[in-house]
Amino acid sequence: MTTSRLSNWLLIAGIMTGFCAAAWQGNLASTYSKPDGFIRFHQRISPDAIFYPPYAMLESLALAHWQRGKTLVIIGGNSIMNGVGQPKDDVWSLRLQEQLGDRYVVVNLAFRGAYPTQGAALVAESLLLRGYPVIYVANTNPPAATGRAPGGASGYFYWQALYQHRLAAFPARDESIRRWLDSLPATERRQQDEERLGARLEAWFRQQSLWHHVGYRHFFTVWNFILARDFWVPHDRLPDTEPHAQPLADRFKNFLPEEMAITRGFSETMAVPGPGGSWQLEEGNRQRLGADIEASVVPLLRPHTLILLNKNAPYYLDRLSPAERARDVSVYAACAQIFRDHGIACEVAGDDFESADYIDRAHLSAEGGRKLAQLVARKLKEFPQP
Amino acid sequence: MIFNTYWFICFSAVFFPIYWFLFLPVLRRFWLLAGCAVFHFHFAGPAGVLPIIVIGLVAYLAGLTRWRFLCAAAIALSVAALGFYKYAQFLCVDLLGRLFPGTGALLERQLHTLHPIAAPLAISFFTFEFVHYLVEVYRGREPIRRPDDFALFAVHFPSLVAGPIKRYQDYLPDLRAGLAGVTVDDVAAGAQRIALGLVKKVVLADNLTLVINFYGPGFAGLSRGQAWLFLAALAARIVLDFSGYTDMAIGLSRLMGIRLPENFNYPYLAVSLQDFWQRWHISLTSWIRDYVYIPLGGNRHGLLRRLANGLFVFALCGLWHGPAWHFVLWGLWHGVGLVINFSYVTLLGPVGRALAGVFTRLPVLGWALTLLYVAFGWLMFFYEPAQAWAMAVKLFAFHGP
Amino acid sequence: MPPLRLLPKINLPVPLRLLGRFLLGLAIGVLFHYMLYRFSLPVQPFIYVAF
Repeated sequence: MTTSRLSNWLLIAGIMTGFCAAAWQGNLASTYSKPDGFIRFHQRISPDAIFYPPYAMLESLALAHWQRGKTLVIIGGNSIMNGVGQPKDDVWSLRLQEQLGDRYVVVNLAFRGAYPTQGAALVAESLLLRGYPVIYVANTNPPAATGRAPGGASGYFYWQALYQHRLAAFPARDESIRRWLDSLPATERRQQDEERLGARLEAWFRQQSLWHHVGYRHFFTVWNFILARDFWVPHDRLPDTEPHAQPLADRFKNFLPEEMAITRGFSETMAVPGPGGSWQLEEGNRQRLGADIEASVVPLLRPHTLILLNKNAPYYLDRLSPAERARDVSVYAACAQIFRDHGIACEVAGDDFESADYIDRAHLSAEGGRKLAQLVARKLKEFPQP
Repeated sequence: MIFNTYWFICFSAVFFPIYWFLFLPVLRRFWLLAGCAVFHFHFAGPAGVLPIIVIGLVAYLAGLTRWRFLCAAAIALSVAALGFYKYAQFLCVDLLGRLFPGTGALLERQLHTLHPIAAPLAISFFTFEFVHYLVEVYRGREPIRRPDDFALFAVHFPSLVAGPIKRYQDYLPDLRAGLAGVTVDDVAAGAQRIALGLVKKVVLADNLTLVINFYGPGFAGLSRGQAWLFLAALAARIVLDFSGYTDMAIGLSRLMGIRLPENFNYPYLAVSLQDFWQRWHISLTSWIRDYVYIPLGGNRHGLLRRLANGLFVFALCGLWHGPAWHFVLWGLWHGVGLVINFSYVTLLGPVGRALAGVFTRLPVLGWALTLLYVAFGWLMFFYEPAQAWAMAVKLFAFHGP
Repeated sequence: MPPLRLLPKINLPVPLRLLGRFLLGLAIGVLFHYMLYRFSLPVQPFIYVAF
């Protein structure tokens, strides 16, 4: 064999060795990689900053928090549950931990824009399946309902959990996702197929686990406008910089017509007039919500779940007409009852909240976070001890 | 998309190992053909594959007859298909609609009933290769006899989407050599080339794209230094993106032992605009030279005709990049630059000769001027004329931040 | 025009050259793994694919 040919064989051997070594390191990283001093996935370690934590990281975080003899409270849902609007020392989940005491450990795995069936819900499902004492707390609102495990910025968690065999057998969910995939336009379908293939490869090669670990500990390689010049900085050096709320007088000023339209939209298409000036949930919506729960919340998880239906800020609700306000109240009550009818504890969060409890239409201030923590702690203590 | 997709990774993980271990050339040939068909169908869909099959079949059969009339008709069909799919809207609305508003509106309405939503994937590159083939046969060169040879030439998957634009007389011997035996040298060279392409595209160009997409809309608010950095990022991004793609195409083909033509030769080291076009998108430039510029008369009929031909082919080259005026403007920008490049020595007499002397003694001057000229061209390439103008003004304005 | 060589070719002893090739292979292998990660992020299309 000539030297040149030998050198080419060595190059190919090097490529295979390098790839396998990286996959091996990725598999190791998937067992230990997680953020330090974790409170929540703040904006700089979230998809907003092109940082997509792998599913394995969520499980590692949950298990790192858990201690034998304690109940693990996993928080999922969207930015409201993530604590957007609350500085890092005032995140509502810290207050929840204080309220619950030592018998519980709280871990906040909520992401901006996530549905209650995404991300954290899958971790809760996986840990319950393996016998851990878990309670799952998440939020939604009447039109968003349960959402769907795949799709959107947090949808990749589902495909990863699926191909890492972390989920319970749930034919109704499989069928619902299959029908949803078949209904997608070609470009979105292709995007989902890509996400799914990526998740399959992640189960073998752990590329996301390794390179997010490298990005967190050593150097990050993708430019993003949130970090701009500091995009390369190891993300363990990036503090949670969520600001304090503006003074109350400056809140709720922007986009009033748009925010009012959204506030109205929460009940506008959901209810129809009932007898004597009352409102009732439109039958199609009632059936849709029931069907969504049946097809997206795994039965195993339902008795261990608390769903919060977050109300909009009083600043906007007070600007609704009396009829619209009545409609809003009845839609929230009816939706909460549907969750309960399907074996899921559900509470409307915000009935007694004031303007100072919100930083905008939806997100809670530190004060609002404290009220939310009290509400959730009260409800969780009613749960049977796992 | 295309090469940077998980689908393509999985496709490659199955396709290449089997290709390497099929020792019989005939089996490799059919495996490659099947791979090309799967690749094309996956990315183009039935609506994108069918027109290419029809045009390809016509080109193959016309070439086979060697009748010049049929070859000319097949060329016309290929060009008409490109015009229909890519330029019908532009011709009806932006050109005819402006000249004759009534007729334009009528044509636009008709178009909406006839026209598909998207052009078949890579129709421009298919057209270039079919036209090249038919013109060569028209000129008397031997046609491709075997239908599988023609099909492989047409849908060779590494170069299918964005070139390099192949020449069949070079491709077929390379194809046979690759099918006869792939060596470890080919695989190593291919892997290195793919790695280079990935670094250029994914590590560098994609990050620059994120920067450009973010700062582009707020260009007016950038400081002068940031604005110049933005221009540099714009220029770097396109060369890294496109040459990264080409590296991957060449590398993937080399994994099968098949060599594709080079498309770039350090274009930003060019010391004149003429030099730039001999280094940038080489397979397109040589195609335009051979099949448009020379048939138009090329350099043969005096300086004036040469300059007119140059302007025309570059306007056409711009239009090829997309049915929009800013692409035409970009083409004309380069056309005018080349006209100056060709003619200043003759037109300016002793001053021109003195200038040429300066450029010869100080090549760095020519390099800087060329780079600047090309970089300003990219403003026209990526932005609408008014916005490109505003950006250029900001870069050179003596006042402001 | 032949491709330009920006750096002069260095003649290294054979064992070093072979080691260098293996190390280059390692780097490419790790790069391929990194690319699997990058493809999971919002992917930018190739500019010329649009033409």
